[in-house]
Amino acid sequence: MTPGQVEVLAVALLAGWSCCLPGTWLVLRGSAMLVDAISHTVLLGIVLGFLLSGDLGSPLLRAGAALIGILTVIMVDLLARRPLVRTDASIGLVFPVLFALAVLLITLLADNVHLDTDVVLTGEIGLTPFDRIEFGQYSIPRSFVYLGAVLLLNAGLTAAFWKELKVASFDPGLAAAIGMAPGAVGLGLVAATSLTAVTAFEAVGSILVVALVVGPPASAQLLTRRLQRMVFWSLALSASAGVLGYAGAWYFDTTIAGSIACVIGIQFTGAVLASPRRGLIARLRIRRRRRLEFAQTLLVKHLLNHYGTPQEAHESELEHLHAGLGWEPDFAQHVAGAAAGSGLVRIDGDRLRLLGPGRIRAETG
Amino acid sequence: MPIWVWLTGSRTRCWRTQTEPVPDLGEFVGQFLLGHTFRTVAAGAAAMGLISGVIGSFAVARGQSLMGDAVSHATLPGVVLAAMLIGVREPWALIAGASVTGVAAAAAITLTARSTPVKFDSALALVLTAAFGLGLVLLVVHSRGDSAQAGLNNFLFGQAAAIVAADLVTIGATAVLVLAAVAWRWNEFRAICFDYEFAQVAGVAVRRLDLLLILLLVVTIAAGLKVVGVVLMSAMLVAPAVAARQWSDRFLAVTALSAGFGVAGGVAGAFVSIIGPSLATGPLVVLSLGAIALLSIVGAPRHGVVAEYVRTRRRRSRFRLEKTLAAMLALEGQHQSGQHNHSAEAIQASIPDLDGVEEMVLELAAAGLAIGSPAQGWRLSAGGTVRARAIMDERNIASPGAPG
Repeated sequence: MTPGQVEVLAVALLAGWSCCLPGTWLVLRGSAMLVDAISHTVLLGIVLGFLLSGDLGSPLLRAGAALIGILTVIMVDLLARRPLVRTDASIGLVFPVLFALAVLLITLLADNVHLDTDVVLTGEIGLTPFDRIEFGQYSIPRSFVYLGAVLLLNAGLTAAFWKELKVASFDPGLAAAIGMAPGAVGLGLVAATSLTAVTAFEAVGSILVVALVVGPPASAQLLTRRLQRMVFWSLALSASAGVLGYAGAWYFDTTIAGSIACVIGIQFTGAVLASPRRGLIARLRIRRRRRLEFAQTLLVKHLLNHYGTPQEAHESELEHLHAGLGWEPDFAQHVAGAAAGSGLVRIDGDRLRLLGPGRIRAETG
Repeated sequence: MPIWVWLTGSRTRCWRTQTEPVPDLGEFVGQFLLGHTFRTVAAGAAAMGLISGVIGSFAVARGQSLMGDAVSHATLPGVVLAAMLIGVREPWALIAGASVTGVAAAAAITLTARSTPVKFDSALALVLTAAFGLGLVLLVVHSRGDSAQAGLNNFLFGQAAAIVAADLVTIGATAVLVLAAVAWRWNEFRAICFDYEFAQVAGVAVRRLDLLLILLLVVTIAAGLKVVGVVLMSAMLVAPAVAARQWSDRFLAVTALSAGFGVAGGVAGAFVSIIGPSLATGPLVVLSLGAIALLSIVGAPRHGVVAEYVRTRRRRSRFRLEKTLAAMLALEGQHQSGQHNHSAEAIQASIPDLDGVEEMVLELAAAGLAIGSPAQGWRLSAGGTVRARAIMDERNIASPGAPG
């Protein structure tokens, strides 16, 4: 790897970690789509900042973007307080309108400026090493400084307000009752998210910002039920998505941001399918096991019902289970085999004989 | 700076460059409003506004406003794959490709939100970005270089000015299809939007209709991409529906109004974009719709912010008048002889938590409910006494157990 490649990878990791920390809380609070809204409307802040300063390098752009991010959430909140407007409709209304405004302003006023709307959306992480900053004899990419600062800030805030965030996210009522001001906590979270999104999206584009904020925490949520572990899992998933996504982009010679977003999607799919206990596969297995257990109980009850009656010989034939219990022959065979394996019945030719444990199960189950 | 200078500048999406003179009105009407380009663009935008208004009112009623945003982003891989496999720029192929991945995304979101602890919002955001990322990867792999970037820009923001007859046919066919489907299963759709369990119990095939509704949403979005693009599609669905909801409580009226607002927004956007030569149609359509939504939320009768404010003010002043009346009745009840004047200060002292009693008394006097003057004090007129008794009775009934 060339130094440039190492630096791009480092930017991806820094961006990913900065995004994970507020992302964890947003995912837990069920307001992940706010990030999507913020990541679009920051464009308006950048345009307004540019109009005020007339300079693409001005810190006003960043400040404007962060402010518009917060303003977006406040507007969404105000609109959602109307009795006939739900939060999701409010988000779906506010951000496209602000974004449309930004696009129009760009085409109207900043036509000759290199402020491409699609670059804002898709980002170009591969270019980050070219924008450098000098520290004495060292020269490092500008993104390192900004993302590093945001990562430190987010880590500090997460550690300092861990308890408040936890209570406000899981039980806002309790938080209000014990004087933790859940509204202020939420606004602080949004402010941090906005700042993070602005800083990260310069480097990686707004689409990837949403993936980095929401993806790893959502996957981590499926892997553990403990908050602390969820944070560590999402940091690890984010880092691995950065590395794998970068490798994939290099292999297929395609966009790094898109590739990382794909890996995040694959991670999530994997977590949804294979999460122990709560994944789809685990749930399917649990369901099948329960179904088999229930069928065994049904079988021994059936045998017990007819035990000692004239029909016993007939009712306990394997072939008869189709008529007696409505089971397909394959399934009947499977259940009988499982019941024999756990000592509930004995297979005697084509007949089933109830054993002691089976009788107990039939009477208690 | 004159507004015209702001509006000049040459973009690929404009119809007139800054070197051309500003036309006079007759020329403007003849050349642009009756011109082929304007009619094509306006017709496309209006048709899209119509169906997105109808479908959007369902999505908003179900609390799935953001599904449109996620689905529209998820159409990117489908569009790119269609362009790769079919290799043509036929509108129907792109719409078909877009629909396939759009439906897949909607299914993934629904499945994830229903059967895992992941919340609906997270599932939306995740599927949205992952699908869009996949689309970007495919796009770059498919066509390296500048052509990809140009195509992406059109996909993101729409390219309404480039709508041609073939697009109009596609959009029109989609519109007919969507409207026919909605009319065909109107009652069932309405039932699953407002009371899913009831619909299920009443024997509606909820799963199938659920899927059909999502299909209609996806097809609408796929057809609308050329007009407004992915990012702004969400507003096409949400804004007319939110606006319409402020005006009526009846779903049929809301849907019809929403369709009307959609058409109005589409035409208005097309119109403004032809006056301002460097303005893209898509963002203007969205801004028009946003303005309609804002105006409706503020100014709609009954549900609007203004109407609510007026109602609150009226209620409060009525409450204050009634409280003053009741206080006067209570004061007069302290005297056996009845007709006894009380100064405004005395009335104020008996209801200290209500300020401005003096004005209230004057207002009551103007309404003929109180008699007197600031110098001699005030007492209730015959009508005022009746009214005050009625209020006391009402209060006693309204709050049983309260001391009489």
